[in-house]
Amino acid sequence: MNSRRPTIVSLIILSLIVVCLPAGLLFGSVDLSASEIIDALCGNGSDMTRFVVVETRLPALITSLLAGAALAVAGLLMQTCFDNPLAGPSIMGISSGASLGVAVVMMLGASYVGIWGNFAIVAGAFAGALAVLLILMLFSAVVRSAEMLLIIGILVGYLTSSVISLLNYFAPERAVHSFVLWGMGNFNSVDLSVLPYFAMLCMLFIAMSFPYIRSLNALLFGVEYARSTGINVSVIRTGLILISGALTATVTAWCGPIGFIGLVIPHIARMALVSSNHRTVLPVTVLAGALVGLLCQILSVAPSMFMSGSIPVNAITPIIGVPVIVYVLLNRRKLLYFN
Amino acid sequence: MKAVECKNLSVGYGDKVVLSNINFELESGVLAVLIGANGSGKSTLLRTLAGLQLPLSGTVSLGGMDISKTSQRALAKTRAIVDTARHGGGALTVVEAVAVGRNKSLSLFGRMSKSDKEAVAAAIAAVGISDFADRYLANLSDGERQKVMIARAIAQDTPVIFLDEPTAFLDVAARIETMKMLGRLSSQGKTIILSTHDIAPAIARADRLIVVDRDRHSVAVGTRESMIESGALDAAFRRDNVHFDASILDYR
Amino acid sequence: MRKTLTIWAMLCGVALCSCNKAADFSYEDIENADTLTHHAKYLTIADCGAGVVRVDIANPWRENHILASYALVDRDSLVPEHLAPDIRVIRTPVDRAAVFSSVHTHALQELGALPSVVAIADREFFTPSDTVSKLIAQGQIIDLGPISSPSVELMAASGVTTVLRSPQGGVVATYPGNVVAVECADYMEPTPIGRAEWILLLGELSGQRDEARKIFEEVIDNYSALAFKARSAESPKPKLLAETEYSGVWYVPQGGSYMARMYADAGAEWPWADTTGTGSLSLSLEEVAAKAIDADLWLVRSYGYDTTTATLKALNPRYTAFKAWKNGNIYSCNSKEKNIFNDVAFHPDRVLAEYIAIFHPEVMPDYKLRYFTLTR
Repeated sequence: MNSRRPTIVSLIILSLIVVCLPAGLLFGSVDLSASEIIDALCGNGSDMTRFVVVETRLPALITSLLAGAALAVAGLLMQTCFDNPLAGPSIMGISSGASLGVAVVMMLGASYVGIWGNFAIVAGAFAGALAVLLILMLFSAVVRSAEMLLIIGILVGYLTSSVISLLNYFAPERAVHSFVLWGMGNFNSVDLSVLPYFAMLCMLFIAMSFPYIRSLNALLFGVEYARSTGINVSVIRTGLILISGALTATVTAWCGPIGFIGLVIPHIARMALVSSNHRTVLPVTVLAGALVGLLCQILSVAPSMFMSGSIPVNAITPIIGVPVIVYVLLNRRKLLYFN
Repeated sequence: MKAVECKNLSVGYGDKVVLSNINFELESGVLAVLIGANGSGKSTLLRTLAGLQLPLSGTVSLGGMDISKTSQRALAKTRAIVDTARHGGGALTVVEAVAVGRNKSLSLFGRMSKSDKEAVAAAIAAVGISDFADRYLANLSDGERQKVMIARAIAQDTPVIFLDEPTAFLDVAARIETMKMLGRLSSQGKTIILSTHDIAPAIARADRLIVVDRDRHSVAVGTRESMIESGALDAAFRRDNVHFDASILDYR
Repeated sequence: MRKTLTIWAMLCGVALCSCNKAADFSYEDIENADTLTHHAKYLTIADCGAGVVRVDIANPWRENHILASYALVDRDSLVPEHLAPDIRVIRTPVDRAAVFSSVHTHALQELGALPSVVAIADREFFTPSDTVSKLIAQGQIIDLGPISSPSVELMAASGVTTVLRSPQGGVVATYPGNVVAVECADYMEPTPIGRAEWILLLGELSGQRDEARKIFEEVIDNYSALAFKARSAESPKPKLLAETEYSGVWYVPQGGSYMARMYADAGAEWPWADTTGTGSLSLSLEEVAAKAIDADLWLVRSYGYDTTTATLKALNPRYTAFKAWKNGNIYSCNSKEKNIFNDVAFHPDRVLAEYIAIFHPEVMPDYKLRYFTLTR
């Protein structure tokens, strides 16, 4: 393995981010020239331009960076923790729990949404995610096998889905519509005043995953080997679920349930680095997640330049995600990290 | 203080007792070989001694510590294991894989200190795969991968190492090489306990034999000579119509 | 007369195209049918004499298609023979009706025909002060459950013969038994007067033709007078912003919709007046800001709570960048409390008056706002 590779890969991704972030400011339904954008960033220009560039487009791009990184890390943790290449952040039912929380708020407490605004949605999402996390923690203490825990997570996901269906059935049309729109994923709901908190939470939880590098590498050889080298697998597993859950909850609360990124980015990172060593895979996952999140936001907004309305994020992520997964599955034998 | 000590140990699964009434002790610096027929409980015994399974009754002590009362972390400083199962980590290089054995001393972020790097290099050299140090595990043969796992156990730097069929994937030359290497380790002070089907080289080198009697569900431990004399070696494969020939140190 | 014939001929031709079978040309008195509707785009009521009134509702989602046709036959009259099978017969006045929308119950109440309503749906949309809610509490009106799937059993049990419902997307409802569904597509009308004319249909159904005609004529007079006042107002036309974003989408009525027409009739500048559709655009916050960040006035409607500046800000802090916010020119209406939905259908003049009072207050000096309040 080329020891320069991680550096090269990281630099490439970083430079792409540095290029795409300002480029993303050019995309939107309002036609703005580069000089107008620069003006707006400096505090000049018309009210409208400043509003569009600084209040609408910039926060959305930064949010997509953070959300992409957060979900990618959540996915990586789950994939290694459960030795399952198809695991993603949603595998433990956390985002289903968040969806349920939002469904409850929107359909039963629609007036609260009006009074407390977006805060009610975010609070509902966190409450739902935490409830699921609590259930998982309880089981994690009792259940020893990873498979059982995984099954429990999947079952929780099914259960919440059916409750959401029930709520949908009895809810008025507008509430159902609201919920469906929320479920399409949206990087626009984080405005400048909230962005620092969102960023702090994402970065905090991402940072908390780094001390797990050593244990994640050990887990690559299976639970028994890991344990024999001194890893307390139950404790580590609980920690990984907590961090992944926190990351997923944070992103889902503000941006809605966003699929594929958490599943696909770890694979991209491993393929780019030709390594499973989390010492390099984890940081590159963060960077690649940020880049792909950014690209998804740009792609979802770009069509609004020639037609009315943008494409929801969850319609874009499969376009990137599915080909990668199919490639991975078809090339299992050749991919080192599968063998 | 003995390296390994069993008192009234019985091993098995759930209600099923596979072997019982096991009492023996091993000094440090001993190469002990576990021999027995298939299904005799060799693996179960090895796993219980290594602390991977709980004993049904009795105690196992490693370096004076009762392992049922020891945390995994402390246990990791006492013993390392190598088994035959094929695990992941295909996209790790040999160095990275062996480094996992240094978990106790690696930083949380996986950084290796100087002594870690030296230990890893030494372990790789000891098993003779220094030429492959930068190769990916997935590109190694089964036998080479096995050696990597052994190197990892060596790098863990524990007084005791348990190996389950360490020569399973190796050719004749490699088997003898491995046994020689394990012998060297034991003479350097480590206690090596391994199970194997490769009788002759094992018996030739072993300081102690742990012979499992499938029919009597019992275990006899002792030197080569005492095992031959007591007929334990013969009894181990009793049903298979073979007997132990002391002159060639093998069965026929 | 020629106009009547032309309309009839077109309708019969359309009926031919959509039903693929010959319309009933032997239906008596067809030449003498007297068309009662002149403003509604999707509704045609024609009095064929002998106690028979023909109602045709065009399909707003499929041009040149009929959504439903009815023959309203007075109880004392004979049902014509040889009616085409797709024409549903309703005996008037309707005695046991299920009405799904509070807009229609209100109109029926105004016509004195509320006793004919025996069932409703989606009870929670009827405010507690509504007479209907009281009747529900007394057990005289039954709640059939959600509009999307009303209880057919309860319908049968309460002897419902006719259902007044709002069609969605061109899908016609059928209910078992001989229950006839009247597809009230009034909300799809592109003009306020066109929508208001649908009260004539309710008048026919409830046997209150004259009363309905009287109400409608009054609405036309009031509306025209008000629109004239607005046109001649001296104060400049305010640029208008309406509604809010929800779940990331801002629904904005297009220039051809009746909301936009009302805004125009009330003398406001509607930023999307150049769009010709009759529905709403789904826009992003950015697109709305691009056209209306400098709007002078903002009309916000909420359901179930009173809008304050605090709640608006909580909904989206970026609203504070809008000029209407900065100048405090936001008017909000809690549509659960205020009757605006019910009134705007058949009394658009009342709502128009309100808009004019907001857009050009000097034209309506003594007017007291009854739907909107200045948002604090």
